[in-house]
Amino acid sequence: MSELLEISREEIIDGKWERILNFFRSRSLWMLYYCTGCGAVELPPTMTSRFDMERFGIGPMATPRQADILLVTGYVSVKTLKRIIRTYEQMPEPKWVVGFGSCPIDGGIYWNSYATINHLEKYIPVDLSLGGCMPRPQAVIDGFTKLMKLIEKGEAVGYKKYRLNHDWYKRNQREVLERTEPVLGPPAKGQARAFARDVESVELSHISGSGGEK
Amino acid sequence: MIVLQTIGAAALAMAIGLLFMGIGRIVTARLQRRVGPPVWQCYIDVVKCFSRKSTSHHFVMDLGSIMGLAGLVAAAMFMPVAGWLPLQSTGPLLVILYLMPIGYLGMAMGVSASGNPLAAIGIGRALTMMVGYEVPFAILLLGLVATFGTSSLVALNQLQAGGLLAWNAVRMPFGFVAALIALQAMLAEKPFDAMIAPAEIASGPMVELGGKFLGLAFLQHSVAIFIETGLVVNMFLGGATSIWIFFVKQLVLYTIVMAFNGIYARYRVEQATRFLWIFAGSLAFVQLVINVLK
Amino acid sequence: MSLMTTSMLSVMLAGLLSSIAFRKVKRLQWVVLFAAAVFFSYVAVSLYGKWGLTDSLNLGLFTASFTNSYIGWLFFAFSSGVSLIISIFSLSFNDKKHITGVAPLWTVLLAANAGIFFAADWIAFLVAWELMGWTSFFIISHGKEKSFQAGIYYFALSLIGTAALLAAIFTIQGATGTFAIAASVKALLALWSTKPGLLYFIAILLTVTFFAKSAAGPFYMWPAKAHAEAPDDFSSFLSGIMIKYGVYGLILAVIPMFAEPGTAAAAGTAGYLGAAVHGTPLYLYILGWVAAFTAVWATILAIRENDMKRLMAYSTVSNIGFIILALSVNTAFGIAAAIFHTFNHMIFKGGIFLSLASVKFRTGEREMHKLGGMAYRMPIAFFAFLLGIIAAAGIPPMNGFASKWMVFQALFSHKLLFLMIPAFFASTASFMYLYRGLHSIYLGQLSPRFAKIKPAPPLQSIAMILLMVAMYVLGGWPGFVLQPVNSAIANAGFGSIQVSLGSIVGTTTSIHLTVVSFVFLFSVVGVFVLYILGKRRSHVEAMDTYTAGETPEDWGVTPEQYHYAYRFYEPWEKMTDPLVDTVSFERWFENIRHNFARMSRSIARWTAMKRPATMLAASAVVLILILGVLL
Repeated sequence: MSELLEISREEIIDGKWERILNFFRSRSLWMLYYCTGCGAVELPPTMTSRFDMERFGIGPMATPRQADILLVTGYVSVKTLKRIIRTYEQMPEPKWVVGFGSCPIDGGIYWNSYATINHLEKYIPVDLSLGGCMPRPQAVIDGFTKLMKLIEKGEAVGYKKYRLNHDWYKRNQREVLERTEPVLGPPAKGQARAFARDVESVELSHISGSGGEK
Repeated sequence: MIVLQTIGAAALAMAIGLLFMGIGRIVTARLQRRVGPPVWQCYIDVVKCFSRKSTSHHFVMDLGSIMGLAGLVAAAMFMPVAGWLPLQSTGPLLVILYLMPIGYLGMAMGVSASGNPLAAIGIGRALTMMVGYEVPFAILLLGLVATFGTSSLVALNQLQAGGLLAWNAVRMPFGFVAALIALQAMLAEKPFDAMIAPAEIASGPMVELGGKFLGLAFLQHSVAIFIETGLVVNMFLGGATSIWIFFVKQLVLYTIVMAFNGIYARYRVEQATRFLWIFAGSLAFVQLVINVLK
Repeated sequence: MSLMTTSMLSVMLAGLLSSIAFRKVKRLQWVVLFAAAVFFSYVAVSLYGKWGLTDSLNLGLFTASFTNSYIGWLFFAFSSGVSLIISIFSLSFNDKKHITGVAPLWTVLLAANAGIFFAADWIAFLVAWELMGWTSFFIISHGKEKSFQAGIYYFALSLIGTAALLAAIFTIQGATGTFAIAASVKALLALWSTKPGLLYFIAILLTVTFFAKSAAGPFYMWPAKAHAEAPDDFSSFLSGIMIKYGVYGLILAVIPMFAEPGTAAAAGTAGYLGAAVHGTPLYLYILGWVAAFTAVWATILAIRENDMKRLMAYSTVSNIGFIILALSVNTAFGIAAAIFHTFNHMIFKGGIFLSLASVKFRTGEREMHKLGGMAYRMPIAFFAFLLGIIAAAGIPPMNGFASKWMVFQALFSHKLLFLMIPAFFASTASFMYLYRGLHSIYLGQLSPRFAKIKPAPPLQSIAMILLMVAMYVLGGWPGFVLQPVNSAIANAGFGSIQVSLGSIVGTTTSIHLTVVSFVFLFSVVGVFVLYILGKRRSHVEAMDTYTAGETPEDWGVTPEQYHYAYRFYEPWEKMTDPLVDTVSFERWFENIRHNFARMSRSIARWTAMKRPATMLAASAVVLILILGVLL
């Protein structure tokens, strides 16, 4: 099928008018952190009084519609990948992804696990990776200032890559997502209903509260 | 000329509101021993919001967002700023109090159309809370009518002229405290922010708003800040002789609100409503009784 | 015989004939109804300006006389106009699937409607009132068992009212020696110095009659049953027009009894001499409190309601509370506010119920949590509902704001400040139930069951659009109605207020509603420009929402389950549960009914009557009547 397109930098870099807007975009970054792993624990110190991320206009947001940055903080299991993709696709453009810690880069200490994926950038375009297990707040802030510079110059264009190479990303995603299908096939219609009834009895907040905690 | 004046007034309301929001964020940051964002952060945020693409679920959502800001802007046109009004009117308090809900209704309609249940839950909470704070606020209005026989803000300004002791805040202390509590709830700051509750219902009404929809919501909140603090300034702090003093008074009020916001936890919505009725309501009621008897 | 009586008689005859002649082709009966509404609108136009025109009809024992009073004409003209719009709607609503056979009765009811507003003496009033009561009872029942239960309930309460009315009429006749309404009220006014007790007795009897009809005070619960179970298009008529007969009655007979000394209404007599609170007669002040609590109570119940027609029926009761609240102030401004709010309510509640009828026409559902997303399929019905609720909430730029503002100003004028606290509460809390309707029926998730429904048919849309235009125009230019209302109340001797086409001068401040309307319009335009400046937006599917990354379909969650509508205000319900559990007039009436039933069962053993309880109530009316004559 499709291969990763070779795109020159000049082709997708932002134009003049967009660069003016990029100035504003770079100084107001709202993040949605996808707390899949242990990385999230580094974020509170980054946001609170010691390091104070808000100095740079960076702040947490509750939902993908509002957020500019998707922060994948830790290992990505094959089951969470589906959620990450849905979340990423719900974000309006321009949007950026930050891989947080070693795990999204190469699998980290879970590199040989049956349940995780090793390279996040194969499934969604990662604009910035923060190495370390875990990266300290200093590193996080350093990374974010770097991202700000990239955005201002119009060079953080992961979302454009995703649009151009949609087929390639989708194929990679499908390969993993097929592994998450239940062995016995999808649930029958009646079963799904019964399951939904069980879910109804659980409070709605339980279902929706798993991501985007503030 | 009138067109220019109204556009100018609308822009001023938004600009002042956004500036206050920025200052409020700094106040919160200082309370948490942080530096906080630059003071113009909220302007950047709004421009950024408008510079992003967005998703809409239905044209009702677009319509609702537009109606939301328009209602608040229309209300701002009737708010005297240090006696100055973009349009010739007496600053009718009831008109302002009833024009603002069209903004909130528009917002509610827009986010309902997004189909997210969290948005509907948030709006449901907001409306419940609204009953909580509007009733004390209305009682305050009645107290003013009892004493002065007018509900025009321009007239109220003139009646409070002549120094600190003529201010209604001094003459009606119970009412002023009730107004402050109601203001806290009107601005949806903690402890009355159950409708937004980011960790619980994912920022409630704003859950599906992105890009320019969020930008419009931001502007709506900024105008709401301008109007609501302005109302209290006009009603209790004697208005002002120059617009700068007016803004300073508004800012003082907003700083108080943000200071409380920084130190309180969140009430559940029925607790908040009950709190508003019992404390703000009874303070306002006491003030009304005093005013009627006087 | 002038146009007044001939029109009434001919329409009544047409109704009766159509029931026989068009028994096979029911659709023609609806055309007859439409023709009757057109005819009455024509009558209203041709009677304009002919104030004081009198007419009488010999009924054998009595003579019923009619007159064209300005206020009566206004009510008649407005009710005819709204009836016309509803009958346009009905033409389309009663298609093969939904047709009911109530059109002939409704036609007769239109005649009774005219009779009530034109009645010059109590006999004519009573005959028209009874005709209205009976026909509406049969229409509400419309051959369905559940509706019949509601109808019986409505009818039993009407009987209480009728009994009180009969007793009042005979007491008035005994005290003043005349059956003419205006003359008898004038004569009663002169009795304040000698027989205040008798006057209070009459006032209470009349109040019970009109409150029972208007569902005010302890009678708050019948609309929720009757409006909900009536045919859908008739609900609009019930809630828009019929519930206002009580208001008209109050303006006609009760309010003038308390005319202040020195006003034109009290000319030639000393006027009201009894106790007063802030310049308002004590009796009316108490009525004001009853009305205020009606407004509050109906609001609390409406917020808890899941059935859309019941919700809106409670909303009607709440608005009636506002109208009576304004009346109770007993000033020209208050009466003008009440009449204006009455007309506004006719328009916006008519629009809301027509919109609901359209939704039910297409979906057949009445419970709100089973609906949702109708706005995406029925835009005109949605806009009718939206503008209707904006008006009902009293928000500019729709017509409800002008009249609600006037109600508040009327209360300000007599400094009835404590009375305003419940009024403000009801007004603010009304946003809750109105929004609930908007969200649960029209917004949120569209159920797949209704994915293919069509928009409202053209005739229904036309009816709704007409009402929408009226709502908007009266919101910005209230003078179109207020100026005639002003002349009418001046004509009736209540004094006058200061209004122009676009502005109203109130007690504490004055407003220019045209300006408010235009400011809002220009704000919308300005914000639209801002909206256009922002980056492009794209449409996504309704189920593509924030779910913390989950795909709802994976969990078997359907759009119906994802639509948040059932127990919408759960925290509020928790808060008001204890209150609603302890206070229930419904239970009180139920106890009375229960005892009645026990008594009647013993009677039923001798006779083989159906519905003995009603019969017993009816015989009680006769008993009271005899007592009244004897007294």
